[in-house]
Amino acid sequence: MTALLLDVRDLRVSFPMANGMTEAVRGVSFSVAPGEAIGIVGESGSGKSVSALAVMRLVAQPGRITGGEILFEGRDLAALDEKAMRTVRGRHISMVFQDPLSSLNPAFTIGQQLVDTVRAHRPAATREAARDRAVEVLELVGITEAGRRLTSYPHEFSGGMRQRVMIALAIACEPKLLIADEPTTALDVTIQAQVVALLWQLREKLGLSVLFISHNLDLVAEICDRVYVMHTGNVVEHGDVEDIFLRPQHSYTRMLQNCIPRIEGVEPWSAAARSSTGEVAP
Amino acid sequence: MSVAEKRPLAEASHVMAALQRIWQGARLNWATTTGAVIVLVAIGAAIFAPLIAPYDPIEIAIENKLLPPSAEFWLGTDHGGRDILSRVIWGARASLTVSLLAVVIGVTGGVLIGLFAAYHSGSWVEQIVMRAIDAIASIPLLIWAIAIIGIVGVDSVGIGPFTFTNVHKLLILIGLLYMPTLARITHAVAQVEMTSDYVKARRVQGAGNLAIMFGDVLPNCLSPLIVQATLLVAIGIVVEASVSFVGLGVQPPTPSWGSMLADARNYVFSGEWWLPVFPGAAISLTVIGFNLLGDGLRDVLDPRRSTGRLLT
Amino acid sequence: MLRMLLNRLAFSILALLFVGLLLFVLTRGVPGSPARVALGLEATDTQIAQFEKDHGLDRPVVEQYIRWLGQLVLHGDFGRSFVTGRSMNALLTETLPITLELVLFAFAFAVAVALPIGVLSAVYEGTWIDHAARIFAVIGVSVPGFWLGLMLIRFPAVEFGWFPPGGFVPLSDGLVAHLQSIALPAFALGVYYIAILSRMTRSGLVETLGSEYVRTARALGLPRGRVLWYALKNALVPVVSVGAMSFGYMFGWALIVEYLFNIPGMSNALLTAVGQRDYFTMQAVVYVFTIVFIVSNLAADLLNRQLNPKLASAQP
Repeated sequence: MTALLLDVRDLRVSFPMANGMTEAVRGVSFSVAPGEAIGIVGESGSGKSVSALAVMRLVAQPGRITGGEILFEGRDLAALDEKAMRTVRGRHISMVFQDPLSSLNPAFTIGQQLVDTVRAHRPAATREAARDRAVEVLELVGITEAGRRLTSYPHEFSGGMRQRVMIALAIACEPKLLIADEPTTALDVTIQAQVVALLWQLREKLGLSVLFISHNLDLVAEICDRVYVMHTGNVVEHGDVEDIFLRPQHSYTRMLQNCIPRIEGVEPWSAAARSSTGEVAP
Repeated sequence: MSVAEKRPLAEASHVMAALQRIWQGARLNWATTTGAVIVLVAIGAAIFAPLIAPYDPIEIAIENKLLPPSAEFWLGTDHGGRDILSRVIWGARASLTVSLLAVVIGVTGGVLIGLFAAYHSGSWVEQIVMRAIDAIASIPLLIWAIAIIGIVGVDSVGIGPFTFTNVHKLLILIGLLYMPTLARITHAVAQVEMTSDYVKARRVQGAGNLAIMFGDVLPNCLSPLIVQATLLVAIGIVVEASVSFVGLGVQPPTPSWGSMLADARNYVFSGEWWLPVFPGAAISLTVIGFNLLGDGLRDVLDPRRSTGRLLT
Repeated sequence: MLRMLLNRLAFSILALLFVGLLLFVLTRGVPGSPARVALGLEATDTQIAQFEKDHGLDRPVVEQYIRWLGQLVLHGDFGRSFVTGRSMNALLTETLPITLELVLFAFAFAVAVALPIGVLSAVYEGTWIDHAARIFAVIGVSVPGFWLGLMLIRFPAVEFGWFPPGGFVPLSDGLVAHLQSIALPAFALGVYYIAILSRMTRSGLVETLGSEYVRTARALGLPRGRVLWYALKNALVPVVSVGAMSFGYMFGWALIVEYLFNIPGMSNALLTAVGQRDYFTMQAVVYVFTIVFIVSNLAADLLNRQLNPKLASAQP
C-alpha cells in the first residue's frame, strides 16, 4: 500500500449549543492517496462540508475539532498551530467553495488576489514573477486574454468564469490536494459540466489529488475513484465508485440515488458519459 | 382570504406582540434595563418636580450664594444661592418637554410625509418630496436650529390667543427638523410594504388606499420608528442643552441644564466644581439612558437594523 | 461612472439652490425690516424706504435671491452685510480657515482613534477589549461635547495648566502654542465621532470577517495582516459614508465648541450675527456650511467607488 496523502482518522467536530455541545461530525475516517479523486456525498447537514473545512482547520467559530487525527503526509494537522497551518493552506491543500461570487473578494482585482496568493507562499517572488504566475494559472483554467483580465473585478465575470478564477487561485501555488466543496452547485447546468471537466483535466495535468464534496451522487460518480457516503455526521458507506453506485448497501445511499432525475438510457457512471463530459472544451 | 389573514405583523395584536418582545428582550439584557430605569427616573423627576425638589429653583437667596455640596444643599448652590439639586430636577422638565414633544411632532409629520411620498410611489410628487427632504437634511440640525432661532428671535411670540415662548418655538423647530429622518424611514419601509402580497390581497378585497396606508402599512413601520424616536429623544436633549448653553434656548430664570452650564462657565476659574459637574452629569446620564434603551429596543424590534443611529 | 457623477452633481446643485431659496424666504419673511435693524429705532419711514430701495430690499424675494446668487456664482462674492457693512468674503476668509482647521483636527483625531478601536474590538469580538469599547461608545455618544469641553477647561487647563483655557493662538505665534490652543476643542469635538465611527468599523468588520471571501483568503494561506485588509477594505465602505457626513455635522457642533473656547471661527461669527440680528451674515455662513456638507458627501461617494468598484457598476 502506497503512503496516503491525507489520512483522516476518527474526526470529531462539535458546535456549542444552548444546551451543551452538538457533534456535527461524529468520528469520521477517510483517506486520499496521491493522485486519487475521492468523493464525499451526503445531503446538507450530513457533516460533509464541516469535515472538509476541518481538514483545512477552517471550521467556523465557535465550532471546533474535538477529536481525531488529520494526517497529511504523516503530519497531524489537527495539532498544528495557526501559523504553521497557514503554510499548509493554499500551498499544500487548497479549497474551492460553492458560490464563486461571494467567495471572491469584491473589492480587489483578480490579479491582486492571485498575486497576493502567490506571494503568500513565495515571499521571495517579485511582483512581476507573481504576476506572470497569475497569467499562467488563469490560462491553465481556460481564461482567454488572461493578461488583460488581471485588472478585472470578480463581478465583471460570468458565474462559470468566476469559478474558474476561484480554481486558479486554489492551484496557484501547486497544492497536492484540492478540496472542492460543492463547486458546481451554484452554477447553471451547462456550466456545471464545464467546471467538472476542468477539474478532471487539472487532475490529469497536474497530478492533483481531489476531495470532491457534493450532494449529487451522479456528479461524484463521474470524476471520483472512491466515494464516502455521509449521513448525520457519520460515514455510512464507502468503497469504489462503481460498487457504491451499482450495489448500494445502505438505504440512505439508495435514497440519495433515487432523488436524482436521470435521462432514460444513459448511465452516468458509464465510460461514455465520462468521456462526453471529460472532453468538453473549457 | 388566506393571504390577508396571514399578513405579517399587521394584526391589531401587533402592538401587543411588540410589547411582549420588548419585555422579553429587556429581561435578558441588563443594558436595556439600565436604560429603561434611567429614563423612568428622568421622566418621573420631570413630572413630579414640584413635589420632589427640596427648594424653589428660581427664587434668589443671595445669602446662600455658591455653597459647596452639604447636608443642607446636596449638590451645592449657584451664584444666586439657588439649590442645584432643585434646579437639576426642574431642568429635567424643560429638557424632556422639548425632546419628547419634538419627537412627537417629528414622528407625526415624518409619518405623514413618508406615507404621502410612498403613496405617490414612482411619480414626480414622490421625487420632489424626497429630494426636498434630502436638501433640508443636508444642513446639520444644530445649524438649522441656531440659524432659525436667530432669525425668529428668542422673545415670546403671540399668535392669536396663543403665546409661544422660546421653549415652544424650540420644540416645534426641532420637531420639524426631525421630520426628514423619520419621513425617510417611513418611506423606505412603506415602499417595501406597498408591493407586498398581503397589500395586494387587501386591494383585491377592496380596501381603500387610506385604509391600507394607515391600517396595514403604518403598523409595519412602527418598529423602526419606535427605535429611531427613542434615539432622537437622546439627541433632542443634547440639542436643547447646546442651544440653551449659547443663550438661544430656554430663557432665564426657567431652570435648564444647558443654561446652568452657561452660568457655570463664568466660574470655571474660581473652583466651584459643583456648578458644571451636576447639570452635565444629569444630561449625560439621561442621554445614556435613552441611548441604551434605543439600542436595546433595536436589538429586539428591528434586528435587521434598518434604523442606523442618526448623526448630528 | 461619469453619468452617476453628473447625476450626483446635479442633485447637489439643486439642493444648494433650494437651501439658498429657503434661507432667503426665511430671512426675508420674518417681520421687521433689516433696514430697521441697520438704521436703528430712530430712523424715519422715509429713511427706511430709501435704505430698502438702495439695497434692493423692496424687490420680490425671488428677485433678490437671483441677484444674490448671480453675484455669488459670477464673482464669488457673498455680498456685504446691511447691519455691519462688512464684506462677507472678508469675514469668511478670516473665520473659515480657523473653523476648517479645528474641524479637520477633530476629524483626523476621531478617525485615527476610531479605526484602531473598531478593528481591535472586531478582531477580539466578545472579549473584554470589545466590551470596554462598547461601554466607551455608549458614553461617547451620550456625553455632550460642550460639557466635556467645560470639564477639560476646568481640570487639565485651569487646574493643571497644561493647556490654555480658551482663545485661539494663530500659527504665526508659534506652533506649540497654536496646537495647544486647539487641542482641547478638537478633543471635545471629536469624542462623539470616535464613538460613532468605531462602532461602525466594528460592526462592518465583524460582518466581513465572517464573509466567504475572507474564508477563501484564509484557505489560500494569506498572512494575517493581508486577511484583515481583505476584510477591512470591504468594511470601510459604510464607514467612509458616515465619516463624510460626520465631517459635515462637526461644523454644527463646532458652533458650540468655538463659543465655549472663545475661538474666533465661523461659528462664532454666526452666533455674533444672531445676536445682532444680522440676517445677511447668518445666511452666508449657513450657506457655506451647506456647501461644505454637500462637497464632503460627494467626496465620500468618490472614495467609496475607489474602495468598492462593485458599487460603481451597480449604479444605473
